[in-house]
Amino acid sequence: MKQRKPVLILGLGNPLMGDDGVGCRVAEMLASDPRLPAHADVHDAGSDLLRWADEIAGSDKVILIDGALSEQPAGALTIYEDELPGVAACSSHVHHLSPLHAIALLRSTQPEIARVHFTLLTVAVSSAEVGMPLSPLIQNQLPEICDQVLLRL
Amino acid sequence: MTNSTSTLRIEHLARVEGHGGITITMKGDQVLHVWLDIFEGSRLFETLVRGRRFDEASQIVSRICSICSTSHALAAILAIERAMHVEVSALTNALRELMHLGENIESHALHLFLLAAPDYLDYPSAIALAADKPSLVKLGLRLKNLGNVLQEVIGGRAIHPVNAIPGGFARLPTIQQMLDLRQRLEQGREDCQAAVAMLSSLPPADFCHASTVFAALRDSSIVVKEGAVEEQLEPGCYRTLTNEEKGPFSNAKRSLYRDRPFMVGALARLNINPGSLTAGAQAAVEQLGLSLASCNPMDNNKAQAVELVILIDRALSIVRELIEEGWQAQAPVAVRAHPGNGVAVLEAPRGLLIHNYTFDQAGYITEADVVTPTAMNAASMEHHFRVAVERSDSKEPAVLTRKVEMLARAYDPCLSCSVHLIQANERGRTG
Repeated sequence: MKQRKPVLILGLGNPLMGDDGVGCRVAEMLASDPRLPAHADVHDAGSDLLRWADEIAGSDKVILIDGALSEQPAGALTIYEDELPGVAACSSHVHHLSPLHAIALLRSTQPEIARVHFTLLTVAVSSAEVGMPLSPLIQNQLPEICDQVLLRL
Repeated sequence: MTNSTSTLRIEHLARVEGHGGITITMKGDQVLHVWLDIFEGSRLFETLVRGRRFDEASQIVSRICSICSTSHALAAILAIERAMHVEVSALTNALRELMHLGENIESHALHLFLLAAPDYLDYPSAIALAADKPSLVKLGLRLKNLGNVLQEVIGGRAIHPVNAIPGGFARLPTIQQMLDLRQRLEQGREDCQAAVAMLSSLPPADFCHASTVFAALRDSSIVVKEGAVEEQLEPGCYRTLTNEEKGPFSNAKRSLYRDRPFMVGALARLNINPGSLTAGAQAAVEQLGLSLASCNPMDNNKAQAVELVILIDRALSIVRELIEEGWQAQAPVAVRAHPGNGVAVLEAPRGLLIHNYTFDQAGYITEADVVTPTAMNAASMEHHFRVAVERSDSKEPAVLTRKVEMLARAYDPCLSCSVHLIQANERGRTG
């Protein structure tokens, strides 16, 4: 079995949906960043967090980077430590679970995930339209987001 | 009974506000209009591949859907190979089938345990269900994980496969990985029995039974069936089926076959191919009380459970055969750019998935057409929503909402796979 590193960084999103792909782009940048320490693994994780349950279970700390519809100005970074934003009691999703629902579910069913420390960095985006490039505003934010992730390792 | 007009609006079927939901207008007890407003991202993805080289397409389109990424990648690869006249090895076909089986196992397990089961057991979500019945949710997660592992071993990534390319596989699995897979699949078979037992214990749901047209693949042809009447379409004629008319009360396009809505997915597959049931699947059909051919769309859940048995048995059979016969290292077949057109139709977890590409002399895509199962199912869902509302003794909004939501989920629609933005206006620290 592959040896897991203690820190797991997952960039979430769909890079075909413009700014929704910000997490994936951050993961790509970090993967080639010489400052990334040896004890951290980084992945472009797509949009189904449940798929990463095994990797999460083998980690001490997981950092998630995700785009977020927000009232804040586009590009604003919000960082949640320890306690993630609450999930609505009723899932509104018919097809798969949101990252927050997925974490809540994994924490409640897998004791080894209940002890994992999660950090969530959300990047406020105003829209996500079909298209591969990020908006210039979000693109320019990438180095800052990478710095914020690296600060938390 | 009142004759005033009322509207039932369900706004939470999609992940992104403003892009999804169900609206039903009624005059008294009579249903006037039903519409499912879907976010049809996949139609727009076609613009992203135009102008791209053939060998870039599968990686791009696999991002259309996180759950069906393998199906999209495979459909693109098959269409490319048809256009470029490429014949691949038996080993490639076996590994592709294995990867595809993994996706179907994962998707069905996710849907049945985390999305549909809470409906039947009257829990608001999988999280609430997990709090009361953790073993049930763990069983679903284990089966889902089995599907993930199959895709990861063969496709090279937990999500959005990179190993499968036009012509074959960039990297083949090791014998140790196949031995591990065999062990997991054997455990998966036992889990599957437990899954069928769990699903057979759920309360029955039959509130929208109605004459239904079904469409699914049989061998390499699309079969459209209503009752005992069948018609067969060759993949190249798929537009007869996916004519995509815009409905009068909806922003989304609708596919009709001879002016009739049609249903694709697990129930359609079983209804159209009842002779393909293995002994284990036949036992599951009986245990679940599934009567084929069924015109109850809620039976799509039972059909997915039966398919879990078929999928795991088939995957185990392929893995055992590969272990027994072994395999030689082999490079992918060289694919040379060729002008032409290729169409591929395959069965994604939710039903027929069609990819059609036209290439120029240098192998660049000039035209693309991607038709997803949910786009095909949209009109059929509306048809069954109408039946469910009309047949309901109670017209109380809460009762109707519950029935319509259950029905929508039974279709296992892919309304929201393209975007997954979360709402983040709760407490946190702004950095």
